[in-house]
Amino acid sequence: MAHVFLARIKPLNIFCEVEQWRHIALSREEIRRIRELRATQSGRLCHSIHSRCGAMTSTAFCARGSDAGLGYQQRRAIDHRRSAKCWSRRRVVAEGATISFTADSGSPTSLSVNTSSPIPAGDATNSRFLNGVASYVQRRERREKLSLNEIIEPVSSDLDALNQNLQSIVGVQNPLLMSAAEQIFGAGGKRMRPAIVFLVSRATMQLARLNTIHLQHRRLAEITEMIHTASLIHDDVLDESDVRRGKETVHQLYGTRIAVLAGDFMFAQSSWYLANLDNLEVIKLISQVIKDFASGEIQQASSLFDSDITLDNYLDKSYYKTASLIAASTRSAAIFSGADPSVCDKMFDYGKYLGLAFQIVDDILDFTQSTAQLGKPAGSDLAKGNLTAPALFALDKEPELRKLIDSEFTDEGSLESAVQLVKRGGGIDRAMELAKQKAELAIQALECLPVGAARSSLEKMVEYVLERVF
Amino acid sequence: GINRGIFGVQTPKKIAIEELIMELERLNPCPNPMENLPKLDGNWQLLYSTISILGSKRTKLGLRDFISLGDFTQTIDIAKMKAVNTIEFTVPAFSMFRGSLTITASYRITSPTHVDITYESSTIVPNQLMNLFEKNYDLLLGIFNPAGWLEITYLDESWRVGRDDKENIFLLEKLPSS
Repeated sequence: MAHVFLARIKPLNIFCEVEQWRHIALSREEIRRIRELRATQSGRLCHSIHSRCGAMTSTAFCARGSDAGLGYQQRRAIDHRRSAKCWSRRRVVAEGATISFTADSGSPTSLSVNTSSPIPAGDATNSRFLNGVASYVQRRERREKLSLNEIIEPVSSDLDALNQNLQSIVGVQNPLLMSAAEQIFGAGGKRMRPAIVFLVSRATMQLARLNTIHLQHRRLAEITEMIHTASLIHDDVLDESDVRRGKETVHQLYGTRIAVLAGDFMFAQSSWYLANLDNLEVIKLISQVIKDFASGEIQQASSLFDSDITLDNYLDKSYYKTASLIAASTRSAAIFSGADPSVCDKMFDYGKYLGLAFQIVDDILDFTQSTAQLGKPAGSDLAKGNLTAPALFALDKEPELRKLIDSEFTDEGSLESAVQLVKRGGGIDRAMELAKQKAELAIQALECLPVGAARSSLEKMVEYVLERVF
Repeated sequence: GINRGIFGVQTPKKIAIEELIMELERLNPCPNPMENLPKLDGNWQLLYSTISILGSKRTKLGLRDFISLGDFTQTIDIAKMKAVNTIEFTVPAFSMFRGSLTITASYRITSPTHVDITYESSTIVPNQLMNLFEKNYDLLLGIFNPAGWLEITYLDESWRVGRDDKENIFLLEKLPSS
C-alpha cells in the first residue's frame, strides 16, 4: 500500500530548482530504497520524478549530477513540472499538508499536518485530494505513537559514546561508587536530556554548514546527564523511594550515606568538567542550574498544602526543578556551536518550554495513571501537599477541594475524593491545555534552525513529551 | 499516641474521643468549679484538644519537618488570677535544641462555670527560636491565643475539661506540684 506524503524537496541541481512542494506516494519498497540510498550516497543516483499532481505513483530525487542518466520519462516528468498547469497546482498543494523531508535526510518519517489554512476551493480536484491526504496523514499519525528511539536515532551513536564515557568517569575513583554508578547509569535511563543536547548541537552546527560536533558538545551532554542523575539520587533519598527506573534506588542498596556522597561526587565532578570547558557563559549557565535545583526544592517544601499558591509560583518552581537544566544545556550547546546570540536565546526558550511541558505532563500523569502503571497510588503529589497544575486549576472550580487539602487528607478516602474532585473540576484538561501552549512555544523557538533530521527530531521530542499522556 | 490531636485526627476517632469526653462531663463531680478554686490552682498538662495545625499553617511554622512540638503545660495562679501557658518546641536538626513559647493571660470569673480570658503577653525563649518564628509570629499566636471565654465542664483531682468560645475542647491532666 502506498503511503502518501507531501514532500518538500530541496533543490539539488538545476532540474529540481523550482520544486518546492509535491506530493509523492511512496510504496514500502521505495521507502526502503530511500533509506538504503541515504546510507550510500555516492555516485550518480537518479530516479525519476513523476509528478502528476493528483495521484503519485513513484518517488524520485536527483542527487548531484547532470542530466546524463535521466531517461526519456524522467525528462518528460521534469518538463511537466515546469509547465504552467503544474505551477498553479503546486501553489494549491503548498497550502495543504506539509512535511519536512529533505533529500539529504531521506527518510520520510516526519509528518505534520497543517489543516488550519483552508485549501482554496478553486481547484476542486486538488482540494478533494488534499483533504484526503490531510486526513489520511492525520489518521496515520494518531495510530503511530512516537517512540523515543526513533526520535533520538540521528544522535544514537553520540549517545552510545556518552554511555561508555559516563561509566568510566564516575567509577574511576572508588569501587563502591563504581557499583553505585552502574546501578544508576545502567539500562533504564532514557537519556533524554543528553539526546536533546546532541540534537541541538547538531542542528546549530548545521547553521554553520558543519556536520560534526565538538568535544565540548560531548562533554556538555555528559555534564547534563551527571547533574540530572545526581539530582535523582538525592531526590530518592529525600522522598525515601525504593525503586527508580525499575531498579532499587542507590540509597536502598547502599544506604543513605553512600547515596548522599555519590550525589555530591557527581555534582562535584560535573562542576570540574564544566570549569574545564573554559567558557565563562556556559559555566555561569550550568552553575545556575545547580542553584536552581535547590531553590526549587526549597520553594516546594515551604509551600506544601498552601492552596493560595498561584500558577506563576507553580511555573517558577517547575522551571527551577526541571526546565532549568534543559534550557541551560540547550543554550550552552548553541554557544559551543558559535551560533548567534539570537539563536542561543531561541535554544534557551526551546529548552525552557520543553522542560515546562514535560513537568506539567508529569504532574498530570500523577493524577491519571492507575496504581498499576505508576507503582504507587494516584495523587501522590497531592498526598504530600505538593499542589500541581491540575490541582491548582481545579481549586478554582471546586471549593470542597480546598477543605480536603487543608485537612491534609487525614480522613480515610479523602485523598481519593480529592483526586476525583481534581478530575471533575477540569483540572486535567486545563493542565493539558497549558502543556500544549508551552509545547507550541517550544516548537516556535525551533524556527531559526535549518530544516533537517536534528530539527525534526527536536520537534518530535515535543510531541513525544505531550503524547506520554495517552 | 495522636500528639494531642494537633496534627489531625481521623473523624471516627475524633467522634469517639469527643463522646468519651461528653460522658466524662456528665459525671462531673464538681459542677461549680469557680467555688472550688484551689482545685484549679497549680500545673496542668494538655492531653488532647481540638486545636489543629494543618495545611499551609503547619508548613509555614516549620512544624512539618523541622520543628517538633513538646509538652503543653499550663500553670494557674488563683491568687493573681493568671494563667501561664507554655508550649515546648524542639528542633531535632540542631541537636535537640529546645525552646518554648509562653503566653500569659489573666482571667475573670463571670459565672460559676465560666471565665473570661484576656491575653496579656507572650515570649519565646531562647532568641534562636524567636528567629525561627519571627516571620510567622502572628500565625503562631493566632493558634495558641487563649483570649475569649472558657467554660470548665469537668473538674476533679486529676482531670479537667474545658470548652471555649471557639468551640474547642481541652482535656488536661493535673501535674503533681513540684
